[in-house]
Amino acid sequence: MSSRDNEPVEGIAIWTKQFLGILALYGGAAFAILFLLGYQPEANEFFRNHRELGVIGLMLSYILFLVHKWGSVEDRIIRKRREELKKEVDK
Amino acid sequence: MSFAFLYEPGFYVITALPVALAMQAAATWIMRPKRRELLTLVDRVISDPNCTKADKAWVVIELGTATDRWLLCLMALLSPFIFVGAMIAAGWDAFSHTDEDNEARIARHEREYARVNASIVWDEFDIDPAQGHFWKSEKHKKINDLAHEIEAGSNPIPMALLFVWIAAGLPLALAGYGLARFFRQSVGAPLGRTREGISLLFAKLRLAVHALT
Repeated sequence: MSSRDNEPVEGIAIWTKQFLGILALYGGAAFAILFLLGYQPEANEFFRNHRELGVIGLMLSYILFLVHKWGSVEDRIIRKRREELKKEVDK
Repeated sequence: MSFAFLYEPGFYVITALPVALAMQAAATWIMRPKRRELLTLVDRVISDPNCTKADKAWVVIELGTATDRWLLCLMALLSPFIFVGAMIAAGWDAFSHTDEDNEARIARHEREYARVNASIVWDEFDIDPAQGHFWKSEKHKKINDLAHEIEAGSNPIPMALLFVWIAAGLPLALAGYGLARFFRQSVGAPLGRTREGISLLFAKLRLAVHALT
């Protein structure tokens, strides 16, 4: 790989933004609902007993997402290379 | 230990996202060496002095395959219909080429696959990839294989869904395979002989016409 491939393609801020997008996509906002439901006295027993799990699940998901983004550096380089080549061919 | 939590829908809501992300993160790390290999091969091809615009065009298509995230998702959703369609196509193919052995069939499918690949490049860029210096080289074959491997490996959730559908459809596929074998033996062979007979008749007719004229 050439030296330009070592440039950081994106940062943590963009990854966090993407993570929020994924949350919406997978219905991950359910974690927040679970957490909030846990504090409602009339809520189902399961939600009251597991109200902390929503937060733990959310944190775990975020860590896993960062691992995924960290691991897919080459994927983003491949996308960048494709765009560059496509422009060359389209000329 | 009580397993009552397994009956709670909330449990599945809590576990779905971490499980999906864990699968995605693991697949990403496993695919890293493959992606590096693909980048190295692509760099070798495009930095070669013999590399033409046609070569760059098929490289763009292969890189598109390696980064595609929608095709497998769509396939996973439509897989029951796709499998039925594939079985009908395979059956049709088997009946229309009854006299063909396995090697000839594989060679024909490879030719067809190369033709479809070339038509994708043609549709996208109006360039014939066969004019490229590397189109028929081992490097192209390797890049093509890697791109498909990366596409499958980078989509663990749709792939898992596809495997679930395959497992669910396995009894039907086995029954279909058994029926296909039965029909090939009982109907395919007589059909093949009939076709041979007709060809022979036509050849004799041609000879007769040739002799008369």
